[in-house]
Formats: sequence, C-alpha cells, structure tokens
Amino acid sequence: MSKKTLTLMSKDKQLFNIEEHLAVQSVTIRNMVKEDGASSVIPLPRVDSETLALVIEYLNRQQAPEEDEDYVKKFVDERGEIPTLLELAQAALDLDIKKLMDAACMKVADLIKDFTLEEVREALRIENDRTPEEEKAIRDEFQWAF
Amino acid sequence: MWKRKRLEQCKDGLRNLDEDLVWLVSRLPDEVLVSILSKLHLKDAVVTSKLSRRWRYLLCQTDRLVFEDREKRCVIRSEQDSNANKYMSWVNHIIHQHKRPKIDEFNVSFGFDKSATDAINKWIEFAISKDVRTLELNFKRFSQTGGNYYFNVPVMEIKFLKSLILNHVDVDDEGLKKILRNCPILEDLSIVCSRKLVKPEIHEKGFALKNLDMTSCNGLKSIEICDSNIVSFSSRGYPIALKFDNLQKLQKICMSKGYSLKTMNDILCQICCGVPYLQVLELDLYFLEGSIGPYPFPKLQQLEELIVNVFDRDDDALFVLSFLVEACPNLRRLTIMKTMWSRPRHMNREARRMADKPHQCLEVVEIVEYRDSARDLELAMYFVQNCVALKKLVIKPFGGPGLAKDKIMEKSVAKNRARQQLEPITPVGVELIGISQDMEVFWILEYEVKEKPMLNSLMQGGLDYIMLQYLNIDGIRTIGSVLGQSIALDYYVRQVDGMVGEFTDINRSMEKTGTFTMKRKKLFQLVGKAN
Repeated sequence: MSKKTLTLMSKDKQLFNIEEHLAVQSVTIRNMVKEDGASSVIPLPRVDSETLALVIEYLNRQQAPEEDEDYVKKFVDERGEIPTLLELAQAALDLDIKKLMDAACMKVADLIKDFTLEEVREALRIENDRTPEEEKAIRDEFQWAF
Repeated sequence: MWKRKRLEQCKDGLRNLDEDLVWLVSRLPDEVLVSILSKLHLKDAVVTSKLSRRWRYLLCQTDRLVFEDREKRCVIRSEQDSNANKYMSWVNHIIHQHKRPKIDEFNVSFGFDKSATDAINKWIEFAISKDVRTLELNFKRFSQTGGNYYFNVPVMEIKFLKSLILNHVDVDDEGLKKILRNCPILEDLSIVCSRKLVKPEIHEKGFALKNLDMTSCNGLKSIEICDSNIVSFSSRGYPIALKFDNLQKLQKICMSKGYSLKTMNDILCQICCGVPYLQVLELDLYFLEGSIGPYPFPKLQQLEELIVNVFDRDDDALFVLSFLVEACPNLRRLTIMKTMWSRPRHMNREARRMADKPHQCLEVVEIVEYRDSARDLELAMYFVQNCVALKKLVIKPFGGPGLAKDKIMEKSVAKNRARQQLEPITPVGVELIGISQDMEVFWILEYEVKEKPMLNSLMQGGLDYIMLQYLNIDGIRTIGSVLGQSIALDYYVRQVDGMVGEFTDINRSMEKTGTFTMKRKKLFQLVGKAN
C-alpha cells in the first residue's frame, strides 16, 4: 500500500511534504483530512518555513511511546532560544499539536521563571504602553500581591 | 540554570533577529502567552500583569491556579496571622478576577488551620464551579494548635475531579464515603495527616478510584477495602488492621512503620487472600518484634518486586528478609533501602544470621546506602550465593547529595571501596553496577562469555574484553595465557615501580647528605634485581 503524502505551505510559500499518517498528529490537519480528503495544499499563513521544517522534523520522529515524553523535552531543549520556541508554540497552536505546544511553552516558562518585571521585559521584548497615571493605578492595585 | 545565565541567553536570542522579528511577542496570539503563564509559578505570573496593557488581563485566562507559599512564610509562627491574611487576600483577588470558565488545577498551599474555614470553603466552591480536575489543599504546618480544617464534602456531584490531595485536612470515615460517591471520575485520592479518619471502609464497585494514599493518619485503627478496582494503595503510618477482599486490579502496596512480625504476617495473609495479582510490595522491616522461630509467611505467588526499608545495624531485619524473599517465589527485583537515623531497639541482642535459602527467579538486587562494612558485604554475598538467576547487583554507596566537603572525600572512597570489595565476589554473568545518589552510573562491571562464530580471526582482544570464535579448550587456553601474561605484567610493573621508588630515595638522600649509607650487601642485591 502506498503511503499518502500531504503538502503543507508555509507563510513564505515554501512547500513541505509529509506522510498523511504522521501529519494527522495535528488535530487541525486530521479534521481537514476528514472533511475533504485534503488533496490540495494546506496553507499555514502564520508559520514561517524554518519553523515548519522543525514541526515536520517533530512529526517525523520515530519514537517508542514510552520514550516520547523524553524526546519532546529534548527536542525543545535543543532549540532553547525564545524566538524559536515562541514560533514553534504558535505553529503548534495553529496545527493543534498539544504535546509540542505544552513542551515549548514549558521551556519558555522555565527560562523566564524568577525574573523580575524588568527582566521579563528584556527577555521577551515587551514595551510598556501605559501612561504614568495607569502605572500608578496598577501599582496601587497590586498591593495585595503575596 | 542560573538566572543571570538564562537572561543572557534570552537576550542573545533576540540580538541576532531582524527588526521586524524583535517584537515577536506582540503579534503572538493570546493562547500561546496564556499557556506560558499557566506553566509559571503564580507569583512569577502575577509579575507579568504589570508588563503592559495587554498582559494585564492575560493572567485571568490561565487554567492552573497554584497558590504556592514558596518562601514558607507559614512556618514563622509569630508572623503567621498577618501573612495568612495577606495570602488570603492574594487568593481572593486572583480568583475574583479569573475569567476562564474551566480550570485544570487549583492548589492552595499554606499553613491554615480551621480558623480559615470560611475562606477555604469559598475557594473550594470556586474550584468546583470551574470544573476543576486536580484539587490540592496543602495546609502542612508545624504547630498543631488550632486543629485541622475539616473538609466538608459538597453535596452536589463534583463531575470533573480526577485527583484530590488533602494534606493536614481532616476527613472522617463518612466524608471519605461521600467523596467517593460524589466524584464519579476521581482516580487519585491522597489523604495525609487527617486525624478524623478511624475505620474507613471502601466497599462498592464502580468507583473510578485507582490510587489511594493514606499517609500519617494517626487516628487510623483499621482499613477495609473490598471489591474495588484500585491499582495502588499506600498507607504509611502506625500499624493498623487491614482487610482486603477481592482486589483484582491492585498491583502495588506500600505499608510502613512499626509492624511487629505478627501484624506483618497478618498483612501478608490479607494480601494472599484478597490481592491475587500484587506485583510490587514496599515494607518497613523496623522494630520487628515477635517470637523467633520458623516464619511461615504465606506465599505471594505473583509478587515481582519487593522494596524493604531496614536499619543499618539491624541484623534481625535481614534475617526476616531472607524468609520474606523465600515467600515470594517469583520475585525478580529486590531493593534494600538502609536508613541510618535511628538505632534499632534490640541492637544488643545476638544477631541472627541470614539462613541460606536458594532463590530461582531473583534477577536484580539493589542495595541503597551501601557502606563498606563487613555486614553489607555479607548481605551482598548472601544474594550472590543464593540467587541462581541473578543478573544485576546494583549498589548505591552511602552518601547523600548534601554532604560537607570533608565527607565528599569519604564518599568517593566509599564508592571505590565498595567496588574493590564486591568485584572479587561477583561471579561471571552478573553485572555489578554502581549508582550515585543522583542515579548516575559510575561503574559497571560485567563479565560475560560470548561466542561469535562470525568473527574473522580466532580471537580478538580489547582494553577490557576478549572475544573468541569458538569456546573450546584451545580458546580457554588462549584466554588463560593472556590473563596469565597480563597478571605477570602487573607483577613486574609493581616490581619495577618499587625499585624505581627505592632508587629515587637513595638518590635524594645522597643529594641531601652527600654520603651513602646503604649496606654493601643490600646495594648489590638491589642492583642484581634491577638487572
């Protein structure tokens, strides 16, 4: 029996092939296949090609079920940079691959744990868009923080 | 990983990015950020609320609310009241703002006593209204004044609760029944330090309950479990009467503390009759009292793994152990955990030696906290000699992770001493493995005889192995001669080392004193030997 392959298209219009039985680990793809057989190309408008290549590598893993947890953990550990992890998490969200999403988010959480406000701001590059009045209000509001 | 290093790593990751990618977080969907927040400690997550307008309300969407008291502020008694109030208002604020319709985990950990009952009841109500799946109330504290919070089981059905952990929370026998009745999918139930539990009975079939733990419930008199589908049961605490009946799925039992031989025998009888498929059993063999004599322990046919905790200097326990092992004919794995923290009561009594009892199935024996004492060596010897099928002897030498500096030396000495002691007694075919406290394997010794007909040459050797094409008398002769040569080589190496050392000493003293003091005859002997 020949294995059916699917084609995924990244944001920058690159095409990736993957065997269907591996691709359906993604709930999104599984639903698409169920609906119309997904004969055409599946577009992923929020996922760039580098991230999609990673996702494909993840889906192609050949791990025994009992080693899978360790594999996922190692997989994200090796890609320990925040931007990569965040892109990966977003891709996993769009494709609905829960394990990968959880592992990527867990890794980010591990990286930024114990950080102070300013450190989180630096690590994730988040701009403070509040006015000074709002700042004060929020400080007052968080008096209760334990 | 250290905080500073992590921060550097995070910044490095951003440095090489294009300008449009740098503000990556701002275009990520909320779901990703909320998922990250859910995995942070709540305290760190609260910090992020102050980041920006967008982050202000992300926290209200998390599916885990774990209120941890990581600084253990509940411990300082003088400040307990004010901290308790602060903690309470923290929890109240967060749950007040919480928006997500469902939560996965709700965990309150603080040393509350029953004076906080009203607040705690509200939190439980909140958690249940959000279809909580894991609920943990951990009110562990050192001072026992005030009394535990009493868990008032809600009347309505708690449909989604899968795991319930109650630590220092009072549950009574009736309460336990109600919990089981009202939580149709509850699988894990752990009740720790409840003082109201006396004679709990679990009778009905049809509960989802799989793992039951009743640890340190000091009011317990007896436990009765019949016709249930539980898979693992653990009760650490004072001796209690047990009744097991028709527990077909029960695979693992963990019992401990202060059993006399009689109560232990009773437990084994209960297991024998009521738990036909038990695979793993953990027992403490402390303070065993009772008549000496033959121990007619009932046979546990299915048991595959036995874990026993013994005191380091209690030979008696080891004596009992030999009978216990005999009672488990299909045992494959035995772990002996040794504890140091207390002396056995009857230390002065004449030690009873382990009686030789051959065992056919035991494959792996692990000794934790191995010291290089004669007693431990004897223990290892016992299993090497009596277990026909032994494949692995795993040794975790003594020494915890938090040892002082001078103890670290001692630890590494202990490691190597253990190896030196055990190497000679380990027979061919048994793997000797040393494992440190953090599970790292630091030496493996394995001898095995293998035939390899595919081998190109008649024999192949390496640093620590020899392989033969066929095992016949010629082959053995080859091994013998190679071994002989290497031992002879060892011998000469030692001789040469000794002589070089001697010459060095002579030279040094000549250099220092300018005279030569050695006897003429001795010098000639040395020169003769060296030539």
